[in-house]
Amino acid sequence: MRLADARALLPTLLIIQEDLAADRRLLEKLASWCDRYTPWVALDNTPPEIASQGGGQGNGLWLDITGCAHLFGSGEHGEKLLFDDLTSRLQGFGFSCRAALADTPGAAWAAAHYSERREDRLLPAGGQRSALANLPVAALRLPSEVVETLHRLGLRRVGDLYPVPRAPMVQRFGNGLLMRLDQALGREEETIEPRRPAPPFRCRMAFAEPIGRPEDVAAATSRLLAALCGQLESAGMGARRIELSLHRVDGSLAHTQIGTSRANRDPNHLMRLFAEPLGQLDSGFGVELMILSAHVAQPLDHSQTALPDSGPMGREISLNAQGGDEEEKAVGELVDRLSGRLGASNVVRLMPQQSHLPERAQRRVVAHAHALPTEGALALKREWAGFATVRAMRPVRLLVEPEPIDVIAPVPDDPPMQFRWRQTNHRVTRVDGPERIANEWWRDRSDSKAGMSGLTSEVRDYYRIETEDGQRYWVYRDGPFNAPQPGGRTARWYLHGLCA
Amino acid sequence: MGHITRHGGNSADLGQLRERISVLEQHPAGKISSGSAEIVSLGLPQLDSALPGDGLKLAGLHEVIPANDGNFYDFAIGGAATGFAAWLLKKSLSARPGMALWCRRPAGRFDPQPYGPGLTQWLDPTRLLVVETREHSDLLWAMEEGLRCKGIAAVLGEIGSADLTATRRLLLAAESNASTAILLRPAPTTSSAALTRWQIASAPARSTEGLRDIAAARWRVELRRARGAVSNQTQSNWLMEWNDETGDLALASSPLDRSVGAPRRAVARETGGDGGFGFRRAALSVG
Repeated sequence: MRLADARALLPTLLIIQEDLAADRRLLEKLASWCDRYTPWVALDNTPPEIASQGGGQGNGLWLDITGCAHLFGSGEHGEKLLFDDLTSRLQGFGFSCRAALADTPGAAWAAAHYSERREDRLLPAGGQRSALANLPVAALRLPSEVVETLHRLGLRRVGDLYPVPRAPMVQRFGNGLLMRLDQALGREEETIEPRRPAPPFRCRMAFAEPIGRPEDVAAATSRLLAALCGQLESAGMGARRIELSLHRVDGSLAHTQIGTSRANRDPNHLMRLFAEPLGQLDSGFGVELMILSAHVAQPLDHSQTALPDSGPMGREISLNAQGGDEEEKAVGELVDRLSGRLGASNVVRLMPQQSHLPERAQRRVVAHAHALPTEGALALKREWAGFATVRAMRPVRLLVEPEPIDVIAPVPDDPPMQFRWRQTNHRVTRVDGPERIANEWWRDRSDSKAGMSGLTSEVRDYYRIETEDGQRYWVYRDGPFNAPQPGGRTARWYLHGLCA
Repeated sequence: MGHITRHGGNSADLGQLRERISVLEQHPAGKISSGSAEIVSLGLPQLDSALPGDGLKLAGLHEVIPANDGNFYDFAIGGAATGFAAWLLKKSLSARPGMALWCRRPAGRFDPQPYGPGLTQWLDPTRLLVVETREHSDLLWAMEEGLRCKGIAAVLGEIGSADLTATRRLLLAAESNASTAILLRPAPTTSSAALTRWQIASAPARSTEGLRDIAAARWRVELRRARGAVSNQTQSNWLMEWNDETGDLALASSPLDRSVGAPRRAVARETGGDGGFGFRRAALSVG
């Protein structure tokens, strides 16, 4: 029926535009919420034209609850309790839903879309063959033309397909039909692609009564961390990224995560990292479930045992016994703490880079992401040593962006006699230079640092100058005085660094 | 201070007592460390002899201030003070394994960042971690965290102001972990718990004869404070020069001030009101 016809029938009709994106977002949110049952949640990827044959809209979710139902009860009873819990909670949120539980995703899909009675949708283990027999063939997620052909052949029920010989079916319909049938019956493996990669390590804690006080949440987090670190320990792994999800009573979720610069499974250290983000988590009306998952984990061999705090003597012994490893770990943990509070981009290492341009010769890398391996340190040292020939010419501080200065020079091409910088005049007594540094022709000028965008010149003439009071500066002129500059401007002077 | 043992009571020699007191004064936190292992020589006998224990105490707080008593804005960009602080950092790094932490607050668009290629003269940038904070309190926090970290040998903090409480906290943190704290700061207006204070001024560089080039950078270094040092110190003011061949600082061939009086005055000024007051009283009696 078209909208105009509907309006003709009922003029007071309330019209709401379909908002597919919002539907999708809501489904995504629901999928996140379903993390409480299993980490293995996927959106139903069945094409809508197939799903709509049964009246559905393709707005479905897959949950792989393998090994998860025991949290609700043992065996099939647990599965039923999980099923009841899921449906009743969804209904509690105001959704009308049809859920089905079966051994295979195909059978569950078929039952969810085509079984009318609720108890029929809860398939016992191995019961998919008999349960599907009475469902229409469309329940096998088949394209409409295949369904029509099957109907013309008189094959209306899934059960009708069971006795049909396989070879002629492949000849008639290709592999698709048999594949769907086999998938539904469990003869062929079908995996649910999880929405997010399932975390390798995961702990959950459900509360009989919702908790809300920050200290309770913190205590629960620390217990979860202890359990997670136990898992990590037995697997010989350490976590790099840990996510904490709070499931609130109203069905909403709160997430927070921490990262470490090197694999770690020390609960005390990880708890310290959580201290900051936990303070910002809102537990809303109460938290009924907490899930802690290590999303990124790396092998971590040596067992970390906290050294008893025995003062300076103990420290010395530990340093001698374990060499630099203990220290490296301590630095890693320090980087975690600093990055956690100040932001990862504010804790950096300086890295050399092969470039003549001063501002490109040094790179700042986030220390958090770049733990320095021992052999890498040697290579880096060698690279830094490459600056030995120019180091005396280089400043100890480099301005993030060269600062324009006003210069008086006797002859335009000469180094300055006097310059004005930050409202102060400086009289130049000594000069070293020029050192001509050309732009790197192979690099597109537009990709140079944003702050350098104004510098379009090909060459810069650097001078190290000393003022009356002995201060030494690094200044440059962006090009020879007479040379044609882009845009017809004259060469300018900049202060770029402060020398020791 | 539980380590003072009572022995021999009245037989205790006065000289011995003095010695013990001087040892205590060098360890304000009440910890007696193993001694020479925690002192690093600066490589220059003249400087070492001006310091208690003939060298820089590793587990301590040291201050580097620029000579121009300008505002922090001017100070923050001083190359000479930066260079000297980096040199002290290098000395403390040479005595201990571990990383160095450089804590600072960026100063906006034209922020003068520490620059690795130039700093390679003084320290190994692979052992350097740079921490930048927005808040002053975060800066102090980061420094303290660093000083208490086992894998950190030294922490350099560019700091605008730090009162007695803050510096004492830093000193305690440094002593608890035998790490070195170096403050790069403007001349403090409040008292400070630092063990030493160095005032650095850039001095005109040495030139090749007949040219006006910059052959070797020079600094005027003044030791304004050395807690626990013997007071009749001979000199606390040196003209120093960068020697690119040895990759180290050296005393310039012509010291700035050879006279005995000047450095004494400097020491007296720094040790507090006592020296200055005595000087003034003498002037009064003449008038």
